[in-house]
Amino acid sequence: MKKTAVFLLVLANAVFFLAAHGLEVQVEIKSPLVLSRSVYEGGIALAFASVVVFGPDGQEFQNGRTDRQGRFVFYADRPGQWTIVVDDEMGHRREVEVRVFETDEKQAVALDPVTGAKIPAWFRMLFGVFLILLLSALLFLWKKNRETRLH
Amino acid sequence: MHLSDGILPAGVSVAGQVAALALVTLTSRKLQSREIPRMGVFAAALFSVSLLHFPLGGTSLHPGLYGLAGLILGRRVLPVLYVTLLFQSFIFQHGGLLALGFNTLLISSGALSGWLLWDFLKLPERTKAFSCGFCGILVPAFLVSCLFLLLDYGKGMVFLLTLYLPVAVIEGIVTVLVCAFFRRVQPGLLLR
Repeated sequence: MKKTAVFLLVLANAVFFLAAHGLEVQVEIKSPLVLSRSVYEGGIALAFASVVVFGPDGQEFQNGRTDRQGRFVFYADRPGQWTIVVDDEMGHRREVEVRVFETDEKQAVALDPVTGAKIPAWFRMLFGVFLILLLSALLFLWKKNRETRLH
Repeated sequence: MHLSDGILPAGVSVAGQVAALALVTLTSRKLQSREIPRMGVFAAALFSVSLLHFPLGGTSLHPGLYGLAGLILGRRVLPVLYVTLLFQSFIFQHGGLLALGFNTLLISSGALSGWLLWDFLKLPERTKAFSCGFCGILVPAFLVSCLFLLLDYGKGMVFLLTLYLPVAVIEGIVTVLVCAFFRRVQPGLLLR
């Protein structure tokens, strides 16, 4: 059993240096253009993925596809909260909100809804494994206690 | 394979969540304490292995080991997959939270077909193990492509299945190797 547990834990941690393939959309402003670059979390570009941009009024403003490097550009013609929806048509989809301010020089702030996205992937993986094992241990102790009391 | 939120209609996602929770409850009945460590360690292994990703056909694919999970955990694979997908969704935004139920149903179709193949196929163990690993990824891929066809979404069934074919072969080989390892060091871990 010990060897098996070690094997499964090695399997669980064999991907220490790898990352998930969740989507990441990086946004920057080149006044007055909003540039987005979509990548899978491991850094692979979302080439030719579908992009839909919704304006501050919630209406579709523009649609198109990313280029080979996962880039997409649009002209934000008014201030407000814009939404960029990137979809690779394989089941992976990400919405990013971008706030465009009316200033001397337009500035965009990407409001990424996922605040944990900047924590390194290896740390998040270890955290997940730890939580799963902790929950299993607690469930095991509770069940064991219950079984002992019943017998 | 992990559908993000916004792809399925909300009603379908909610129905999937209800169905998945019902199945998870059903398959968790009469759970004994001695089963929990194996389920926990396997959940941790499944959680991390799907973080392995490689580029193919303009997208990013990952292994899942769903067939292997099915043949080792049997019906207990459902609660394990639900928890694993929940953690993947929370920690890695890998699949949507609303689509969690539907994702569990899709992926457990592969795991359960692995379990059934392992139990009912009268073939040499290596062939059985390969079939489990192969179908463990290809059955959900087939169902996903059917779903995409119904939703008029995606790049088409042939494209999706062709993309997952090499992953299925790799999973088949890995399942054979892991089964051979378990047979040698811990035969009791395999269902039969």
